[in-house]
Amino acid sequence: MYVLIVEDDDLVGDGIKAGLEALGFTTDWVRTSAAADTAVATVTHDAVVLDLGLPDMDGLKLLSRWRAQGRNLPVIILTARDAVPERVAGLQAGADDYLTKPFDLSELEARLHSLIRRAHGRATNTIRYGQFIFDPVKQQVMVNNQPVVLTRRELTLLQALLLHPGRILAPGQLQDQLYGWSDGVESNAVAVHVHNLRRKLGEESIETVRGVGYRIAGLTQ
Amino acid sequence: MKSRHTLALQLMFVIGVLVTALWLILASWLLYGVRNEVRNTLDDRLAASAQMVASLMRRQQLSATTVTEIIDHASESTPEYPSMRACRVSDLRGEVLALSKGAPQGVLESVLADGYVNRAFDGEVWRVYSLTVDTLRITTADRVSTRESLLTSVVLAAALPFGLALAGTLILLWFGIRWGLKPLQQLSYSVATRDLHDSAPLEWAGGPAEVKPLVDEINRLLLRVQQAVLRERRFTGDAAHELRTPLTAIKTQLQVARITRGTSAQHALHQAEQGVERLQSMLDQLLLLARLEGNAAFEDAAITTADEIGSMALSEVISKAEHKNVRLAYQIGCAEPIATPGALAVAALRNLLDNAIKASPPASQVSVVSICEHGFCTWVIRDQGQGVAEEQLQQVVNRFVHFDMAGSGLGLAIVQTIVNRFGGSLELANIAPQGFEARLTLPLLTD
Repeated sequence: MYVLIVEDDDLVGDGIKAGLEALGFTTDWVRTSAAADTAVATVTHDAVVLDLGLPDMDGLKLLSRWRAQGRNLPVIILTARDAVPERVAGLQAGADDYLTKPFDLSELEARLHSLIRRAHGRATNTIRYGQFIFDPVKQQVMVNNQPVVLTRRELTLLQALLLHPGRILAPGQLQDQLYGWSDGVESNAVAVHVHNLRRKLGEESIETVRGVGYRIAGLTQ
Repeated sequence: MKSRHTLALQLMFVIGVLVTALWLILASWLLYGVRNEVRNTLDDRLAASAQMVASLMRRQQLSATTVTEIIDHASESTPEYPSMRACRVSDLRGEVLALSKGAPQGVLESVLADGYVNRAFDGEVWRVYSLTVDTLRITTADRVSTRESLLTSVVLAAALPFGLALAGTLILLWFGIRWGLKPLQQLSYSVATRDLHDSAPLEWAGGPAEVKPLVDEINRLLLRVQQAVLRERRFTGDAAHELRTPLTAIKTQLQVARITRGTSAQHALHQAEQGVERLQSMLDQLLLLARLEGNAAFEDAAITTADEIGSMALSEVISKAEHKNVRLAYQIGCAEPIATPGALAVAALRNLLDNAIKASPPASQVSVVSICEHGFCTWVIRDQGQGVAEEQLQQVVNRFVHFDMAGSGLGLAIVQTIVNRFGGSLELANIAPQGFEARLTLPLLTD
């Protein structure tokens, strides 16, 4: 799952990034609302972790603007101020959830999973599609009720495809999901991981749409 | 809260006592007048009776017996007007010619001089009048007790309406005072039932003008209290934010260290340590500020000279400067003792140097010059950084205002508090072509 972190504090941002990545998320970390704006306009994230005290623009204003622009991606706000009016203002500005600093990484993780799940209209964290059962919390995948061992990158790639069943994802989009935005990686990295996934899950598990990208196939055998 | 009625009671007491005293003085004055008037009237009647008897006897040559009948008749015929009770007619030798019935001989006899006299007889006091006409001496007498009871009934008849009027006045006075104080009661009620967050001023449109200044002052006070409350709320909010941010960093990084291994875990631990350092310096600054504002005594026996303060402050920031490749240039120029406690002067100068180093681009210079003149020492600290936007110059000394992440936003607030408390000054300005200048002035110790 691909999360954008908007946090101006070096130590906190570094911690959230390292923590979420250790928990299987792919992350982008920006320090200003201007950079956050650019990131949201360029890349499709599954969720945003938004700190409210940003140096260039208040996080709430940024959030209101996104909502006014019709950006409906799940946003969880982080605030060091615990006054009730602040939280109410956050939720009214369009936040889906909030966490008061300091928080537990595990709580942030759980809330992100739940936000992403709700955004995709699922009642449980587990993603079921065709013969696939994917548990993003445990980072486990079952095919025909048999566990399959995948690497972290492969899991991330499969999860990205499973989150958008029926949609064709461009290699660039998948690359963002794997490595985060603007991480310099070899351009055939996605192709290599798709190849490995096909090897482990079956050739027909991922469909290639020529010149456009990849799509998860139902594995309806 | 009984005190709400005190003013009414006090007014009632003062005005009531004054009115009652005035009425009583008036009453006793009137009483005195009435008393004299009644006495004189009764005396006149006594004299008139004597003269009537005298003229009767002289002009009509009435016999003593007839006179006796007449005076008996006169003294009995009007018992409700008992002015004359006894009468005696005698010649100048003391021979009794006529005597009213039941008249006390001892009272009436042997009165030599004409006019009024009081005589006691048989346990009673009589008012006696003697008149000598030709060869006759006529003596008339009244019982003083009879006179007094008449007087008392007159006084009582007058006192009843008088007392009722006084009571009525006092009752009306009480209602008048209550009515007059009603706006005050309403005001105190509206203050008592006021919501803590209500910032609307108190209403005093129809109330007495004398109280208007008080209401205005209360409104001004309310406004100041509101502002102070807002400021405090903002301060606690800011403090919470500034303390929680490093705490969040520490907690998050420690959790990362637990779920990762190798270099990632090491990095996270290192970051957590940095968070602890930041939290510590933030707490130190906050405590220093709290002590400064709490007027705590700073025991600092050793007298510190301006140059010593400069070198102590420099030694605290030199590693930071080296780390950033910033050159520190200090020009010694003042060996005079400073009146401010040394630790605080060093803290103020160090905070300014910290800011200058933070603002400095790599491989630039921060210069410090100390100048002692006119009883003050001024340190001029200059850096070659970007300076501060003019519109933000006023805000930088406020607490929790900072323009970089690592700062607590308390450094300049502390310097400002120190100079305010010890009679110094802090001036901040951008300098041309590029850079920022801080002038810290503290008073020198004078003998």
